[in-house]
Amino acid sequence: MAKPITKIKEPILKEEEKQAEKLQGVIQNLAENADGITETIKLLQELHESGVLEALNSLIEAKEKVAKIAVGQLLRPPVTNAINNGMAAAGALTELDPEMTKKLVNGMMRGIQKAEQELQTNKKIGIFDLMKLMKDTDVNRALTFSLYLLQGIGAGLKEPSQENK
Amino acid sequence: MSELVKVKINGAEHEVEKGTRILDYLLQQEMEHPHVCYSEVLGPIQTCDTCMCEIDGKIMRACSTEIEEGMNILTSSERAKASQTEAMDRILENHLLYCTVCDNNNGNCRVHNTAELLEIEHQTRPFREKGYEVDMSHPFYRYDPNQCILCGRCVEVCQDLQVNETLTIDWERQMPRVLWDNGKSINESSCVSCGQCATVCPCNALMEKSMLGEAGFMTSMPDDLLTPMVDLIKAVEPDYKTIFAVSEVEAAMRENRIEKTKTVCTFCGVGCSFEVWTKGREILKIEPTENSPVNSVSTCVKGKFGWDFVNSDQRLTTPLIRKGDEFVPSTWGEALTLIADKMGTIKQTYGGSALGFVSSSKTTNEDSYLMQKLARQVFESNNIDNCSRYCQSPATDGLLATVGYGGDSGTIKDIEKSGLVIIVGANPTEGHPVLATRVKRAKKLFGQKLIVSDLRKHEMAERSDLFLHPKQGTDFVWITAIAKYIIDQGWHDEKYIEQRVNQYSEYLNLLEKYTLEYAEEVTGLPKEQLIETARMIHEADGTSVLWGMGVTQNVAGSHTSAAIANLLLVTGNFGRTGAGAYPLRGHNNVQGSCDMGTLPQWLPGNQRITDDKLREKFEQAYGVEIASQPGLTNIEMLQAVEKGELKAMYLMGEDMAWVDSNSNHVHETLSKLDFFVVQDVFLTKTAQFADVVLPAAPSLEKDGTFTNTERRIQRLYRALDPLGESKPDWWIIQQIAKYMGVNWNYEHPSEIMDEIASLAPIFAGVSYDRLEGWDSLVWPVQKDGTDEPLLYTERFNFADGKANFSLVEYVPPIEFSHEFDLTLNNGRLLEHFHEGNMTNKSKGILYKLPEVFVEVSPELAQERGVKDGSLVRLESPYGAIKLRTVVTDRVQGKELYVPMHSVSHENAINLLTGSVGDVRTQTPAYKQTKVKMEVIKVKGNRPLPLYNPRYAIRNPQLGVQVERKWAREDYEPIADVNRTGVTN
Repeated sequence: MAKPITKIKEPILKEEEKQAEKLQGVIQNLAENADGITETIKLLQELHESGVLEALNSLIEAKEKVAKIAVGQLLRPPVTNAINNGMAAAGALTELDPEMTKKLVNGMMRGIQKAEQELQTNKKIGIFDLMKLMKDTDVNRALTFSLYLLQGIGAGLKEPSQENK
Repeated sequence: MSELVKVKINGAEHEVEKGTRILDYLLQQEMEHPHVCYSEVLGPIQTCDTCMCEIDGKIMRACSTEIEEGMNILTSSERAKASQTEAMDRILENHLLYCTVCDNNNGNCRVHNTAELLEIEHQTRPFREKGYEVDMSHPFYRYDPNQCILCGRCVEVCQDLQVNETLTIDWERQMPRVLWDNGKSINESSCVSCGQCATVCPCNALMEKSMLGEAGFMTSMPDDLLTPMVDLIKAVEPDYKTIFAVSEVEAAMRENRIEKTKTVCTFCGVGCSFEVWTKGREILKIEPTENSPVNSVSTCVKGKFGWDFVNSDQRLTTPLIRKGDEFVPSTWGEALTLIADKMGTIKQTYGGSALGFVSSSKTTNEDSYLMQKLARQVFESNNIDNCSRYCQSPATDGLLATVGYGGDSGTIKDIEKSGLVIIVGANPTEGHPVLATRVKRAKKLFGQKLIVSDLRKHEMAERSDLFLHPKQGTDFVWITAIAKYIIDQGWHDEKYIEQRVNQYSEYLNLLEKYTLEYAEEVTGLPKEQLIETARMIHEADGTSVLWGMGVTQNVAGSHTSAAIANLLLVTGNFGRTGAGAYPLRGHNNVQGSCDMGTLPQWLPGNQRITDDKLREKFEQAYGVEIASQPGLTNIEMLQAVEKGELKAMYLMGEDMAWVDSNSNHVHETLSKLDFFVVQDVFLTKTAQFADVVLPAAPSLEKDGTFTNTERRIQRLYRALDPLGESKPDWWIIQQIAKYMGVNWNYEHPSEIMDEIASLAPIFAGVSYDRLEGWDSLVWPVQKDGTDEPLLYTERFNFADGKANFSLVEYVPPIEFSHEFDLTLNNGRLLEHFHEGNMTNKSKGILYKLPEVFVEVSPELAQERGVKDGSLVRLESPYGAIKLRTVVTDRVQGKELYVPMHSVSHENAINLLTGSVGDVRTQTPAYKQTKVKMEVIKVKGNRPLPLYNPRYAIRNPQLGVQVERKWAREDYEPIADVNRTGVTN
């Protein structure tokens, strides 16, 4: 007569056997990768001695809190502004012709040099001098460039910004 | 078949079949084209507007525009592109792209992929929330209105594919959203948890809860971190290309840790296939695809969400051996040695006939085949049966006698195409949910007619054009009377009968007494209803009859099954599309386990054991003599145990103790066995009687094939490793053979299938290569791989190719003494499977349907003073149970209904059922049970929670109704042409 039974004897030894089996696998793995593991242990020891490991561990344990703080910092308007400015500037830079930039920078350098020299002389400029200077081909070229630059900026300001498109 | 037209697509000439949808053609030609809401199954929904093309200068949708002669189609002209971009912009106003931290970022997100395809860099309309809370109320899925793009795919599947009619979009409110029953929480709505809405959602608005925080590497972060991160991305505004690039890296990382494995569902005979997504042992979700041959994107609650049992802590993980009053865990070696020793000794002492083998209709074909091989070859016993004995044997018998194959005569496609579907004694919305959806869809969209004959007014009965409620066990009479009436009216197919069916004149003689008057008297059905039924069959373009346990579990279920085949023969409804006989197989592999010869009188491939030639073939292959005498059925095995003739049993994957009728008696008999081996996933009631319990691996942990109700053979692949020391059934059986000294040496189930193909002609062309991935075969399969989805187009399966009218007679139901005054109907409910061993491990399912109950009609409740939640005692001549009541008009008069999903001594239905069985197949007459009812306590808690969908009212409408969106004042058309009323 087989009565229905629901009781299962706890497999106490089973657990230990399982552990032993798992351990065996790990040991095998260690043996196969001995060189790499030895190096890694050295590295870990260095990190431990210098306290880096402890810092890293704590950082990872507190990862959610840390991430929250980091994201919170990133969300402050000055930071988002900076990121946006950086991204906008980067975007603008990609559209400039490098040759022109080179010319412009060169021109600026020379202009600054010249201006510096003239300032040293402490000379006053009158209306007549101004008229005369406008006829100078170098000054005229710079004026033309500046006037059209102003026109371009003005047109750029007229367009609605990305956000309100 | 139809005419070809010439069109220009982006300047190139194409010849296309007229009437093809542009989008279908583009996809066929593998020309990438944006689209979000369209699906091959659902057709053009027309809500997303991303598929715009320029056609002859007009902007039109590729999804709803059919190709016509001379069209000039530009898919990416400046105007087309601008329209597509505008459409996407409107979508992104409704959907925030935080892809990297979204659980739907798995490479298959349609919104993500379409935005990327359209090279969207920025959006002009900023994203804004809709102002609704996320609905987390349902146990299995959630809806986030703020991520919902209002494409309406979920509404389309709910309304027109699943046809549960719960979801709508309220297009008129200021901020439209998807609604459940016009505004209830999901949990309190009429939602039946089929999960199709979550499956087809093109983004993360509808998601399986099992995915949340699990699928991504960064998606489990808490809300107070996630929200600022999303805000950061918004504030910083990188272009979307950067977002997509980052999210794709993350999606690629996910692919490394999420496995997607194709499997076949084990919860009924429909044979749904889908991918199961796993992460380690965790099941993330079930993902059906349009590639699935039977179900496409459809599932039911069990198939989509019912897999918790696989990782249940109650799983058996080591063999157990009975020692005293406890089971002691053992090694495989110990257990197998003991089995071989005990069973070997019994075989030597008493012969093979003292051993019985019970196979399962839930294990694979390969498992089943080996089980019968173990019985017949190793133990030389024909005592092999399976649990279809408890359900489907009578249907098989009726079909074998008349048309020659014991299986569905066509496929689910034929059921869909039928002009008229008649369902007799089956409740497919609960027992075969996905198959039922196809009938509901055909009825709702394509005018299919539906007749339901049942005791109980279940959902299909509610939806039917004609509901017949005959007296219990009298179906044979009305079916036969209708056949007679049809012939009397001259509505029969005379020529068909003459050319294709034998025994017509004898059949006419039999019919004589089955007049409408006689039928009315026996069945209680009014004559008018019978005439109406006959007329509907006569007028229909193809009739399919679907039947289940309401027919088979009677004293003459086999006769009624034959009567159904007779009726279909009279009207020429075999061998044509959209017609035929469909016994709905209850379990995933009822068909397969029978095909594999786990039957006392059949060898694999439905070959009779009494046929000397066929038997010889197997004797040669197995190298033993096989007795020509059929063995014992399940029922006869237990009788033989009682007589002391059967000493030992080996049972695989069945909880016979609760599933066989008259449980008290079965329990007593099982305890009398000298030696009993049970192989299962859990320590079932049956296993508790065993001497050795072997831990088996469920379907997700093994390779193999299942054969569904259509006769379709499909492969399942191992998605998980077997848990602990559990093993696939075929492996276990092979070990037993080995310990008995027979070496089979199968290394993979594919080798077992090769052997089956070599011995069973109907499987001749079946191989794992031909069943790769989503491919399937519907038997009989010829050597060259040609299969036969539709049977009998040319010949019936008899030597002369002709069918036979069955000449069996009506057998009236069992009589009970007067004190047992209530008819006790019993069967399934949607949420649970069989006795419940698998589904009662699912928290979500138990939450929705915690316990069994008895349904009582309002009339009877009033008469007996019973209320919702009253505790009653039901007593039959065989036993008694105690459960709570649900008062409902699903049942009427003195008829009760008790679901079978219980493994409790308090309320398992089979404590009440008796031992009398079908006259031909011995299938117990579960449905012919009468009881008396005693009220124990009137007041009590409702056993069915108020958030069970059965209390809610559906909200039917056709599709998502995009016209209402177009009618909004703030809707600016993108297309030059908006065509309404385009359905698939």
